Amino acid sequence: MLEVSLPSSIEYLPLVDTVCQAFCSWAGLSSEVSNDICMAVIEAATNAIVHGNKSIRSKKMRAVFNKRQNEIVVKVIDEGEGFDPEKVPSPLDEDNILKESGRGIYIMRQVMDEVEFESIPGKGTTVTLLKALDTTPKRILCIDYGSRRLGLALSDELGITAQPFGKIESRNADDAIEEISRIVSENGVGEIVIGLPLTLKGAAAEAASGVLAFARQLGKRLGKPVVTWDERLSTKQGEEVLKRAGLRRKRRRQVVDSVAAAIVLQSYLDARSTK
Amino acid sequence: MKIKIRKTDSVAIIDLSGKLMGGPDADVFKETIKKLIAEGYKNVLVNMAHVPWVNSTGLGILIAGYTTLKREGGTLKLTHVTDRIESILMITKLGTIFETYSDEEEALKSFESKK
Repeated sequence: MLEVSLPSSIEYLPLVDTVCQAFCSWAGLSSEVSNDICMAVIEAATNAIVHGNKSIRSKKMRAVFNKRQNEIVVKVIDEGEGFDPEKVPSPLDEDNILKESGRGIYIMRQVMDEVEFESIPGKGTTVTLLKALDTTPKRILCIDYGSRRLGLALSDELGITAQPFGKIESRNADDAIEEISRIVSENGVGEIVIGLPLTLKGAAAEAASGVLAFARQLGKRLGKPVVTWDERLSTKQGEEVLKRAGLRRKRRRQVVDSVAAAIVLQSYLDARSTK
Repeated sequence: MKIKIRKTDSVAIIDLSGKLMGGPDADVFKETIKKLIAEGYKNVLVNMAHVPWVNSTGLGILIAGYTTLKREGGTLKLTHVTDRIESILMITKLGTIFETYSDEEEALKSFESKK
């Protein structure tokens, strides 16, 4: 648990944000989830300072951060008069969209899973902000991107080992993305890694722009993080691995894409675990 | 919040830095817009590259600037918003009000094409 207690002045909001970011980072949250939480906390703190405590510095604004097994709970507490959240009009109504204020509670409700207000006359308001954490283990899918063939590899649920997972042969990106989307939902995939062809000096090769465009398209379609990872030599390395295993050229050609994907994925997993 | 101003022939560019969160910032920003209008600038581009986040009060400041300029027949647009600001604009549906650009030149051109 982490608690901060600050004088009621908006000059302290950046400090609230810094504390919130630090807490989220300690809790191991993704930047996306951290941003949501801090956005809500800042709105609650702004309200507590400005509306609750009327910017009277001697009144305290408190924020209490808690990490539970499956959720983050932040309480923001003021010493004001209290209010009725139901009486706050929607900021999205046409009449209100250009109003200069009145968006705080709406923002909190949008980015958090639960928002509760408890007002005790004379004792102030406590806003409880809850964010549920997705703790189900997720696999990582790796794609070795080629214009005609996409080699695939899949990690285990703990993200330790990579296994070849076949290939997709497809003439256009849209079909390939639909196929990937199916694989993602059938196998509980939470993240996608795409091999990025860099030259040996580390500069992005020409082929990379095609990969980056594909990665963007895929990210938009799936709504899941898509990261690119240096794939230099992975296809060659894959070929070597298969040669040493005694596979004939024809068979090698059949499996090399997914083996290359597995090599890229393993290097990603290894780098991640040493971080 | 700090404000620096650059000017082209027809567009004033406000380089903001720091947090945009209301209080005294609101007055400083309003005064800046008023001054620009008095100088004949009705189109304003706010460079948000050095503003890591805004709260709803900060959004209010931008809206005040926008409505003031609209009344004068101009507008206010944004460049280089961070992911966090982009998501607060989306959540509040203000993404439909504020045009945002990732490239300053492109943003400046967009003012020309409207004329």
